[in-house]
Amino acid sequence: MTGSPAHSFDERALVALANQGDAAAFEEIYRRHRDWVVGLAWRFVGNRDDALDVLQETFVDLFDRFPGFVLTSSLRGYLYPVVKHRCISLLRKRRRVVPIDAARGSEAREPAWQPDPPGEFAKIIEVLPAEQREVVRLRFALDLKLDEIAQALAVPLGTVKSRLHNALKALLKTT
Amino acid sequence: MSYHPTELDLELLRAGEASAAIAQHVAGCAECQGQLARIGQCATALAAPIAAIEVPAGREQAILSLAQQRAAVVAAQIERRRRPRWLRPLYIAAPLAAAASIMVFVTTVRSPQLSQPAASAPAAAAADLNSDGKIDIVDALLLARDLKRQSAQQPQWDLNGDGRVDQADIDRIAQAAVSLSRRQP
Repeated sequence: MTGSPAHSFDERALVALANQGDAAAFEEIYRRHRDWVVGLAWRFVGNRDDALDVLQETFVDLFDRFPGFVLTSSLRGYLYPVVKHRCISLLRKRRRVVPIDAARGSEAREPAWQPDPPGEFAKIIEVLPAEQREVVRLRFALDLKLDEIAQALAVPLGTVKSRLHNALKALLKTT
Repeated sequence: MSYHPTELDLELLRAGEASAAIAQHVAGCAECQGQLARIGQCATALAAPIAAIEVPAGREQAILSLAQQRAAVVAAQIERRRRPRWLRPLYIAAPLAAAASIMVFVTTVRSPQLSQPAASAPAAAAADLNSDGKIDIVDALLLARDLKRQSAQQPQWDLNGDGRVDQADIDRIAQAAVSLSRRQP
């Protein structure tokens, strides 16, 4: 695969090729995002076998979007909610306990996240509102840009900036 | 800058996404450097790496097979869309010999370029961004990179004539490049 020219292509060009049915482009898209997707799935589901199932289902979902797939920000911005929702569905199917959001007293909309950050940061992160906590994880744990986070969460860019700003103020106040 | 950057500005600086003005201020401000360092500690703590998850060979092959199958389906759909509407009944009503031979005659003597609306002579020249005499995926890549950098756009790159140079024009180049490569032996 490394001998194929597709591996050096910009993501937009890859998507354009895939929309034309280019098999090498499909394969390159998979190889570029495989580790990220399976790692993200593991963070949500906590075990290897389930993470691999989510990996396969996620890419089946993505491949079925072609032809006609429109790349708005980045593929990771598209993939994040797909992976997350599949993980939530899988956990519910297996009747895993979804951690209760004690601060709100209701079932959390997000599955547990692994591994927990060490020491003081774990406590700081946990007291953040769920929306801010998710932005912080996407930014620092998954290294997404702000526009990618906006696409992943389907919120305006200004909302992402606001949430991240407020989260950082809370984090810096307590460190 | 006569004021301290916000926490968000500092985070953008940490990620290499801040302006030069912010970077210059922080370089000379001990307080901001301290805040930046704490943001860095937080980022490091939250980015705790997880062990690489190896995908078993069988699973990998299954996913790649799905990718190839889907690619073939997409290619077939694209090919069907390229066929003129009046040509489609040919594949169903074969006994229409007289009309069929006229259609076959027309489709075999017409210029190959006419079946590819994206590759008319003036558009072909515009699509050859690197002026190497051929339209290939390198041209699509060059236009994609130009769009990403938002550098000055050439009007002749508006290949579909919609008044904008955007993803649709990249798609047009890719379409021409892939169809040309399929026709080559």
